[in-house]
Amino acid sequence: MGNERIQQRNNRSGVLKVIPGEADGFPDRLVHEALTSPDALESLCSHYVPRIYNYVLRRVGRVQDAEDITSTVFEKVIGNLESFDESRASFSTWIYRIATNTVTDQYRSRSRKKESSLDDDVAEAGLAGEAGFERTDLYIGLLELLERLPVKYREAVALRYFAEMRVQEVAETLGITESAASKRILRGLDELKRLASGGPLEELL
Amino acid sequence: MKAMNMTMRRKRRKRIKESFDRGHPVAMAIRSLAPPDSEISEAARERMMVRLFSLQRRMAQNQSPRYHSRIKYRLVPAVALLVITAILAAVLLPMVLTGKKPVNSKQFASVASRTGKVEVMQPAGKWRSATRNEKLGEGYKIRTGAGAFASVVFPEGSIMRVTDSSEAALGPMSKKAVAVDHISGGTYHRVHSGTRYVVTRGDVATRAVGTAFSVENRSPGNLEILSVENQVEVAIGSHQPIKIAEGEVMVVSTTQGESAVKSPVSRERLSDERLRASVASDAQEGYKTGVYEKLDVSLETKEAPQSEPAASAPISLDGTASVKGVSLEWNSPQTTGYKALVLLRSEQSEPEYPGDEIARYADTSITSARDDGVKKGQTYQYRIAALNGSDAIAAYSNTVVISVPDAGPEPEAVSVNLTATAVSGDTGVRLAWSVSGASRFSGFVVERVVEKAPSNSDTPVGSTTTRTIDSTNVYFTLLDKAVAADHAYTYRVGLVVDGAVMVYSAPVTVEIAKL
Repeated sequence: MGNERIQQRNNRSGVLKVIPGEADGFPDRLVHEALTSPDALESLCSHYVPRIYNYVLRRVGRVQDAEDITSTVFEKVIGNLESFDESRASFSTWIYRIATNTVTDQYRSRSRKKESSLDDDVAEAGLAGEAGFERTDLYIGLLELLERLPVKYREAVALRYFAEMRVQEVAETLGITESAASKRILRGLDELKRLASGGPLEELL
Repeated sequence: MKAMNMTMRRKRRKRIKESFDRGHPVAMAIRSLAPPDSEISEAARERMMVRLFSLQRRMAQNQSPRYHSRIKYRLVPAVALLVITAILAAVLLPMVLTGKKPVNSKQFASVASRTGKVEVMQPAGKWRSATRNEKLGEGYKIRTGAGAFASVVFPEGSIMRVTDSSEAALGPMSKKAVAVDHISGGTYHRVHSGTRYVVTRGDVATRAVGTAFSVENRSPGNLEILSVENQVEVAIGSHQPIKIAEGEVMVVSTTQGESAVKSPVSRERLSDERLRASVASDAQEGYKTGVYEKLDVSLETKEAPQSEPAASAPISLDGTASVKGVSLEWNSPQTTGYKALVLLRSEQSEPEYPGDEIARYADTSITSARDDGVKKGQTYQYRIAALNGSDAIAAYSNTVVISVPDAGPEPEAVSVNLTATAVSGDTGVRLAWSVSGASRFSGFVVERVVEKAPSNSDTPVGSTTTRTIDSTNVYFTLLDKAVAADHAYTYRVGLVVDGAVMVYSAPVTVEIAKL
């Protein structure tokens, strides 16, 4: 994502010229090498694992789950790398789409299992920083509300605020227009506000 | 062309201002609540990379046929011919030039020795007998039957010894890294210096650099990791890795949650035939034998059970060391009629009567002793001999190995690392702690002080609760359910050694939100 952002800024100022997809990020053209070269795979992971892990962690709120999902995402990425076509989407867009779908699948299977395994032994430590436990509880509450949103709003909101994407990137990842993306985001926010009323999150909104 | 049109069209579409959601209260709330960036744990990343490299290899193997289907069919015979020529050249040329078998590729391990029924299975294949020097690629499995034994040599020089009735799978291998999946039974690993060598079993990963260790799960629900030479690190799930020093053994139990106990290895364990056979193979190949050498445990296979003292040890001896000295305890011998008990001590080898006698007890009901005449930093072996009426040995106890801590700089400071988390949904506080630097302790003291409470609370500010836990687990989790909303609690955990708290964790405060 960083690549495109830098490129845009440059276009506007017209001072610097940056080759697309090669600014601070992992060059898209090298992505396919990760299929054959261990070094390329290592460097692709060094670049994308922290981003995807944090996106997933913010979405699921549990360290253990985030670790497992991140691993699944990268297994899917490597398994499907042959079908990745850089002329149609940037790699960054593609990997976030896979991550988003994987989290959505996880939600589905979890709601089927009715949280059977999510008891004491599940680590929630990742969110418990110095910022305090009250905040953590509010955040977990927010995630629960998010889970109640229809998938299309949930994904748009998640990409916007958890992956910290620009509208254009949200649009690309979801394969919709920017205006549709912005509408889904706003609709999602409004819906969250409605769901939060009467709960512990209300005073914060 | 179509793709280009799509792009052009997209670009002409209306641009949405980035500030479109600025000021939306929910957007602001999400941004303020979302946790800051954190890093994926080293253990999780390691596990993931092992899986990805393995997947990469599998993909590379399967890629060629798929690739062919995309290119023109008339190219197929030419490519096939080229491939065959290349393979023939690679195989035959070295043989022609050197007159020897071709050198193993960097990506293959080989079966260096095998005794008894040893079988291998290639990915998606079937079990078949292993041949001598058979090459094993990534994803291959090897297993041994009853009484069988096999050694696998990795391309960078590390060796895995598969003891009887055991199974292991090979992960990715390179010049500097080896990954093994321990499946069942016992595997022994002699790691080449400089190699990143990881053995995994479930979510327990054992990592070593230049060392020898054994991994065994012969009893259900228990995984044992024993460091024979140098040290290894064991990571359980996303916990901080724990170091296992030479001569230490860690048993990870997975039957009731996950727990792990670390202790010094016993001579009896080291005398186990399987482990001894693996270390003996190492010794024959010129490697150091670490704890075996240090404790002078014989590597020779015992012929028939020796006819000296009684077969089983009727006296069971246990001991602990502190800077002040060594404390020993034993049970009162069940067989009566012993004339005396003799405490034996040796620095180099298994203590023997009468040469290693340090104390004699005519009163055979005595069950403890303290040895203050020990040097700091020295390792001792103790054993008790029971004498009969004619001063001959009637029985020996087991032998305990005790290292007296060094008074100088501690090798690793003892510490307890505590995390406490409010559990949402069900009201409670989950405490999790791990112990590093200590292997001999008897339990924990969990202290809780009420930090904040409403004026009408049953537990006003300052109320203190203490709970004692008998455990030798180096990992421990506890759910404190006796908490109330709108209270704040400060927890700390003390490590109990010799009946007193040796060290406390840093205090952690948890606030339970208002309902």
